[in-house]
Amino acid sequence: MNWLTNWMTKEGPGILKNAPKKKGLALFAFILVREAWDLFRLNILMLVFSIPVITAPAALAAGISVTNVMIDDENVWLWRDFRRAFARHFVKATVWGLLAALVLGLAGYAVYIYGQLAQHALVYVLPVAIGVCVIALVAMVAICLFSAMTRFPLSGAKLLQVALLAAIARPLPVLAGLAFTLALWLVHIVFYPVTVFTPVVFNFSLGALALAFSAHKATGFAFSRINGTDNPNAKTTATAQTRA
Amino acid sequence: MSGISLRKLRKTYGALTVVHDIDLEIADKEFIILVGPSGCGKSTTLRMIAGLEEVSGGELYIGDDLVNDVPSKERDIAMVFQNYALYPHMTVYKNMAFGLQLRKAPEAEIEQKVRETAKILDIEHLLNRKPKALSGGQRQRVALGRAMVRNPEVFLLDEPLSNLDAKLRGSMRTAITKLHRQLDSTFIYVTHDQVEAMTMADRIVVMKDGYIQQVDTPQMLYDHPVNMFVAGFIGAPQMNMLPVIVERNGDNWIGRFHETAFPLALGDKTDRLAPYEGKEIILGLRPENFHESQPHDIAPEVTCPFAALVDLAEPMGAEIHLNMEAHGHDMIARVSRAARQKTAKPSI
Repeated sequence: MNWLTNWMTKEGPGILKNAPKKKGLALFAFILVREAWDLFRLNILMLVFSIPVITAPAALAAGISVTNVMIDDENVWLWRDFRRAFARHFVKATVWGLLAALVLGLAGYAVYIYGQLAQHALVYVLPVAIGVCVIALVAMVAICLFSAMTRFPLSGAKLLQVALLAAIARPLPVLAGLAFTLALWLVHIVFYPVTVFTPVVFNFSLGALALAFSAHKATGFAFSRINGTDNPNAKTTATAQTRA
Repeated sequence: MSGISLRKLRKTYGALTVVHDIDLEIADKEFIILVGPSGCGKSTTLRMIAGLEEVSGGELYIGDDLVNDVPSKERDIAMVFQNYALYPHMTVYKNMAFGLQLRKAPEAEIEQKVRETAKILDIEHLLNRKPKALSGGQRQRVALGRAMVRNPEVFLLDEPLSNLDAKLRGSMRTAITKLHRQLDSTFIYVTHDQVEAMTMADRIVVMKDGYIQQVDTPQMLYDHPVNMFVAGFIGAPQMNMLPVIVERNGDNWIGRFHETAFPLALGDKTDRLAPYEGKEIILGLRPENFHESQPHDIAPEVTCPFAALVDLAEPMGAEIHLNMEAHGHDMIARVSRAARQKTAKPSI
């Protein structure tokens, strides 16, 4: 076991204080590598806490809350932070989650119905397209809403306002995060049973990280605009809220 | 009050005694350094103070409390190890917070102390990193930080800089000295590096074979070593030792080394030489006591010409070290760089 000890204790290259900050996908990959073990543990927590189904939105909120702390490069006390975020956001996350699921469900059903009709009359393509857009927009707003909910002390109309502005202001990163998360689940479904263990290992937490990462800047921007602050200290606010 | 008192402290392993009944008084807020060659018992002494080694004999007091049988965790001390002993699976933040968590400190207090300490040590940017990514100097600062967050009365440091490269060691020496002033705590520091001891300590304890040889301030140790071991150990390059015959020359005493007669100016202690008249003693000459010419600031009657063959001249930048040989004795002189042009000559 000496090799393991040596590997664990050998001197590293050091970290420069003024090293340029990573951005974009490089930052995402860096967080992924740095927090790999905690992401695995977070995945287990999210999976277990989602089992009763009704708790799934709160588990997602807690997962996004923890991954927001990771993105802010703050120290994570995984169990403590997850448990607190789960309890704090349970009601809000459940209400907003059910609402989003209801709208997405209705829109999905409408797309399905109009899709059937469009096979007979081309005019029904228009409502199908509208339905798809509604699904995409609602999903984006929901992601931004969960991100904003876990980062800032907001609720009700103000929270929805921030989420809407975030989704409109920076739609591409949010869409990318959404697509990445969908891809994770599609891969799991398409390659099943080869990918039978992916939800147990990383699907939940990696999805949460991708969603939180994609909405991070957008929600920060929207929060600062709506609260009238040019230079929001979102990191401090988020940390203070998570630690409280 | 966190003065430490060692009274006839002894450590034995079976029949082997590694620390022999040592007595030492360490004042509150003092920076004291235990120095000596490997195996002299300095680390064992430190570990007994820390409570990591059982005391075989004698008494150990921290403040007014006899702590011979007090467990380590109940002594108000923090120790920094040579190999840092950081938990590799924890981030820097968690490494620093761990001790406070064990003591069930409130979360807010842990957060505040860790961040304050990280700011002092300039490691705020490392808080969410694992030790694996850190360089030796950064790990050392984290190890210091872990000790500092507990705000102990006494810091014990066991060769904390010996794994660092020379440049980093220099900067960390300064950092630790400043830290001592800032924290206003008692520091007990073990090293085998006499440069560290000379530059950092309020007082130095020189140890050899489990015995204390001398305890004094760095300057007193340098100027007035009590024996040849201390004389040779303290100072770099080390003191030259020459065997000389004591002779009387009228009212003055001289030490004769072949054709060289060294004036032995001992001031009012000259009488102490009388028993040694005609006998051989060891004369200690610091390398800086050699000059390439008659110095202006030293009276001619206390100087003497000395012939030696220069084997090697080592330019050190600000000065030159001359390795010399005289009548089979190797010596080293530290002369100014102005002497560079003269080193081609066989003697000075």
